[in-house]
Formats: sequence, structure tokens, C-alpha cells
Amino acid sequence: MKPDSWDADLDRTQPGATKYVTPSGHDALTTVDQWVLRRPDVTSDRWCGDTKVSHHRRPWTSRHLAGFNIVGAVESLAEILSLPADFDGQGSRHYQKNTTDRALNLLLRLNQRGLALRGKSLPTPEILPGPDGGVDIHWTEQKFELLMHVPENATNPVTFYGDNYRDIKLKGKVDPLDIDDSLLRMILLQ
Amino acid sequence: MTSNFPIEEIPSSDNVFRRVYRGYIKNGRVKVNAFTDPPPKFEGERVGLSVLWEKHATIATCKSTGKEPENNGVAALSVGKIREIDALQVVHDPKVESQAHSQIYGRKDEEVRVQLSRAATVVVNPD
Repeated sequence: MKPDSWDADLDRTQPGATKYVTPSGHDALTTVDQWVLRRPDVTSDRWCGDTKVSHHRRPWTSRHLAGFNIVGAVESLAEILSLPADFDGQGSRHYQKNTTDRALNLLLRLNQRGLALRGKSLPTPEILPGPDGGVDIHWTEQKFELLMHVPENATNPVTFYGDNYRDIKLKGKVDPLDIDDSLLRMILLQ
Repeated sequence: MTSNFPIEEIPSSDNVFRRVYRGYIKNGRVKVNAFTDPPPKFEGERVGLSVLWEKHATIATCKSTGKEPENNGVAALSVGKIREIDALQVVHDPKVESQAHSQIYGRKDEEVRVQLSRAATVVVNPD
């Protein structure tokens, strides 16, 4: 598979990186090795005097994935990408790769933070085609239920609602770069 | 097109039926993504979740709607339970082709979709 320009850059700057593949493989996406695992905290190019310093995204590595069902997540996202418009007869849109990529990045980041906070991986959520071209990430666990929505429009925030079926309720927005610990504590209640 | 059917008040003790696509039912529960408003056909159109009021419809008529009835399940929701969910209204909205047609109006954010999913009972599975 011929890498696109972004991956070619990555290849040159990070010769040791192994956990990435070309995005052109998305049509037949079934495994992690067919997915571009990009960190969302990319920094842009900057200038030091006359020298341009490029900061490239690093691929996700196995230490971010420990115990998390990444293959299941990727397969669900690939299935969502393959859905035609109005697949449900209710006017659903066709889903964009950018949206599913952001959903994947959010899951990876949540997992990374969960590992850092509690040493635990995320329970496996159900990943669903959501409203208005967005992706739903839904945990239905014994001790809590949590729904996150990754909108199609990247300028809109990720929103969520969760509760423990009783008195504890959380609702709000998720900043993928600064994930609130209370949200993670709920996800890791299992 | 406006119907000639009178608009009635739906009692909270009644149920409404919602057609549910095959992929939106799992382990006897209706998934949260089954409860989303359709895109408006024109700017400013008030959209809601289409449902059929049990007073004028049967589960079978609900299942038979849409392009692929074999892919439809049917969920029942108590009107009273829907009205307990923040900011939702259940309004009779009869059409020429369906006196039972009604709408669930109100914002379907994540909390509302979770609550609707919990309130729904699958009464017929897809074929």
C-alpha cells in the first residue's frame, strides 16, 4: 500500500515506529494494522531562527493499548464507515472517516488516562452510528451506563451523559486533551 | 399534507409504538441511537421522533411501515414515562395516511437518549 504524504513524513522522522499503516486501507479496515493510530496532540511546525522544526504525531504504541479491545473498536468503526446513507430508513447520513478517527483517538486517550489513573483498561464499549453523522460510544456496565457522542463537526465538543442507575449522574463535554478524572472514575467503576 | 383527522390529546396512560431498525435492537433492549430526530426537510422545520399512538394503530401496522418492513422491530413506550423525561413532549400529529402518527418533540441529547432507551420495550423483533 502506498503511504500518503503524512505517513511518509512519519516514516522519515520516526524510523523505529511500527504501529501505523496507511489510511488508504480504511475501505477494508478490519485490524489494528490497517489503521492509522495518530495521537491527537500534534503540534504544528515552528521556526527557530531560520530553521523550521516539525513536530510530527507519534503513532500509538502498545503501552497505550494494554488490555483494551482495540480490534473490536476498529472493526466497529470500520463497519460504521461502510454504512450507506439512510441505511436505517430514518435519514441517517453517511459517516466520515474523520469522525471515526476522532472517536478512535478519544478511546485510546481515555484508555491511556485510565491506565495512568488506576492501572486499568477501559471496559469494552459498544460503538454505534450516532445522530447527525456522529459516532456514539456506549458503555452499559453493571455499575454504570455512559453514552458519549463524537460529533461529525470537529469544532463541536464531544458530549456525554452517564449515571450509576441511581443517584450519581455526570453530564457535560469531554476535552480529549484534558479528560476529567471524575469521568474516568465512572468508566473504571467496573 | 394536512390531514382531516382531529388532533387529540394523548393520555399519559397510553403507549406509543416506534419502528426500530434491526441493527438498533440488542439483547431485548433498544439501543440509544434509535432515538434520534430525522434531519429537517427544510430550514426551521420542527422535527421529532415519529411514533404511532396505540389508540389508532396496531403493532403490526407499525412494523409494516418503511421501505423494508422485514428489518423493522417495534418498541412500545409509555407516554407517561416519556413525559417524565426532561423537556420531552408527546403530541398527536395525524397525517393523511396515518391517524395514529404522533411526535416526540424535544432535544435528544445523550441523557434523553439513554432515558428513552431504558423506557422502551421491544414488543416485536425484526423477521
